[in-house]
Amino acid sequence: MPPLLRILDLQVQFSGSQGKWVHAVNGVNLEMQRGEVVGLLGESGSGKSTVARTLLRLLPKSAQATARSIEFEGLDLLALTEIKLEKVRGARIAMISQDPGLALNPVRKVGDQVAEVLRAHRDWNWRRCQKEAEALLERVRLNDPDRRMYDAYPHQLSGGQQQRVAIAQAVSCQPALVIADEPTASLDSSIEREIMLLLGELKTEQNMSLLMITHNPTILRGLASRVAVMYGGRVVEEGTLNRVFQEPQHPYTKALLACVPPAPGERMLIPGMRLPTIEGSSPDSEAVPTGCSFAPRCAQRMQKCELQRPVPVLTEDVRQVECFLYGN
Amino acid sequence: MAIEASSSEIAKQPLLAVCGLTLRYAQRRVLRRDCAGVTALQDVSLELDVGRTLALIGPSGSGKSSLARCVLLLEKPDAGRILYGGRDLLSLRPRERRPVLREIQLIFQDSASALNPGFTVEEVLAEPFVIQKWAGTSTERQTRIHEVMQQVELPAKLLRRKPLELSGGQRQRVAIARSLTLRPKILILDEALSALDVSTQGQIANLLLDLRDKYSMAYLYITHDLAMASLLAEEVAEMAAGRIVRRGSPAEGFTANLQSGGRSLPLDSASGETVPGPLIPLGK
Repeated sequence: MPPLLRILDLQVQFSGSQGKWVHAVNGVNLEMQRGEVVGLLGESGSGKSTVARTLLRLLPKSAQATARSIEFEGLDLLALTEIKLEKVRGARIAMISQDPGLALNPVRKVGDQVAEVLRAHRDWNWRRCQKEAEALLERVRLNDPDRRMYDAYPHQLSGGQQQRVAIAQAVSCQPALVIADEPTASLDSSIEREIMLLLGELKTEQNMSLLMITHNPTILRGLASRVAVMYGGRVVEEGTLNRVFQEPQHPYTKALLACVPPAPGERMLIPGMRLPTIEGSSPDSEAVPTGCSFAPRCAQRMQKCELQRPVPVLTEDVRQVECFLYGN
Repeated sequence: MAIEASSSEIAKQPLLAVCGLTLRYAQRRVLRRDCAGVTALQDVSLELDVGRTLALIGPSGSGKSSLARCVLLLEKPDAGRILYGGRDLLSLRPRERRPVLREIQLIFQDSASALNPGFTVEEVLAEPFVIQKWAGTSTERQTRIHEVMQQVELPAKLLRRKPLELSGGQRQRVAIARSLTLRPKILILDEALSALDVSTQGQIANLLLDLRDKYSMAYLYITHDLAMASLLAEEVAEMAAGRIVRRGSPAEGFTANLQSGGRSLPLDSASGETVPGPLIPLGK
C-alpha cells in the first residue's frame, strides 16, 4: 500500500532582507502511513512549521518551495491548481494552529465557524451544517446547554475552549491528515493534557493520520508512534518514538532530550541547579553549511563533519540517522 | 506591620511586602446585560526578600498576573498595602513613584510583542533611560548598554538587529537586558519561560539564576510550570480564585492542581457567585 504522504527532498527558501535568501528547509524526506501519528520535533527555526505550511501551500509569496515530489493520496501537492487544492485543504488535510485566538474569526459565532467548514466541502444546506457543527462541538467536549457554546464568540472562550473549537473545525470533514502545529503551546499544562487526549481519541475514532509538530518531546509520549527530529531544516533522525527516545543516536537528539526538564515527581530538581543546555546557538539560516548543520555545536564533532554533509544511514532498528558516527 | 517603621525595623523588613491586597474589576457579564464585580485578588499577603525567588503558581484566571500588575502600580487595588523597602507604594505621589518603580521590572511571556518591532535592539535598550529621564551622558549610556548585553551573554553585533530578526531565546535575553539597564532589585517574571523551546528554557533559567546570584536580585516568578518553579524558587505560593491558598517549599508536594479556574464562559450565570470570568476592567 502506498503511503498516505510522501515528501521527497523538500527545499524551501524565503527571500529575506537585503536580497539574501533564508533557507528554512534544506531537503526534508518524510513518509506517513494512514492512521499514523508522527511527531515532528525541533526547536523554533528548525523549519518544522514551514514543512507543514508547504503541505497546505500556505507559504507567503516570498517563499520558494521545490521538491522532487510531495505526494498525498496520489496527488502532487506542489503541482495542484488552486481550485483542486481547495478540495484538499480543510477536507483531506486540515491544520490546527498554535494560537486558536488568531485562527478563529473574532466576529462570528464559533458554531457557525465550524459549520462554515462543512458548507465549503459538503453539499449540505446551512441548517444541516449547523446541526452537524453542534454535534461536533459536543464531540470535542464543549458541553452546550441551550446552544450557548455554539452562539459564543471566540473572545468569550478560554484558550482551551478555543482550541477545542479549532479541533472541531479540523476534524469536521474527516480529513485523512491533520497537521497540529504546536496545538498546546499557548495553554496551561493541565489543559495541554486534555487537548492531547482529545486528539488521540479523535485520531482513533476517525482513523486519521496526525502530524504533531512540537518542540517539546514530552507531549509526544503516548501519542506518536514515530518521530522525526529536525535541525537546521533537515530531518537528522527519524524512527519509532520508543527507540529514538530511549536510545537517541544523533548527537542533537541526545542533547535535546537531555534538556527536557523532568516531570514533577519524576526526579526532583534541586533549587538553583543549572539545567543542561545545548552550547552555542541555532544555525544561521542565511548560509547553507557545507557540512552537518549541527557540527558547530556538536560535542562529538569530527573534522569531516564540517566539510561534507552526512548521508542518512538506516540503522538496524529501522531508523534513519544523519551522522558520520553511524557509518557513511 | 507598622507602616511608619523606624529605621532599625526597616532593616529587618523584607524587600517587598504585600499586605491584605484586594482588587475588584467591574465585569461585564457575558450573555447578561448587568455589570457584576469580579474579585481578582482577595486579601493577598506575601513577602519577598533580597536574593530570593517566590514562585506564584495557579491556573489561568487565579489572579497571578493581577497581583503583578498591582505591585507595579498598573492597577489600583481596592484595599491593602504594598510595602517596598518599608515604604507604602500606594501612598506615594506619582512623582515619588518613578524612582521606586525603576527598581521593579517586569518581563513578559511573549518577548516578540513586548519589544517594539520598529526599534533596533540598541534603541530598545536605550528607551528605559529616556523614559526614566536618566541624567547621564550618552557615553555612559552606551557603556551601560554594552554592559547589560554582556550580562545576558549576547554579542554586541546584535545591537543593530531588530527584535523580529532574533530567535525567541535571544529576544527574551534582550527583554531581560532591557529590564537590567536600570539596575532593578526585583524582577517580576510573568511566565517568562513558557513561550520558549525546552532547550532555550534551560538557557534562560540558567541565566536568571546566574543574574540573581551575582546581583542579589529578587524574583517574583509567575508560572504554571511546577518543574521550573521548583528550580528557580525557594518558596511557592499557590493561588486559586484570587487568594493564596497554600505556601511552602517546592518540595512539599505541590501537585499542580492547575485546572483552568477562569477565562471561561461563565455558564453558571444563574448563581450569584462572582466567579472569575473574562476580566474586562472598566474605567481604569
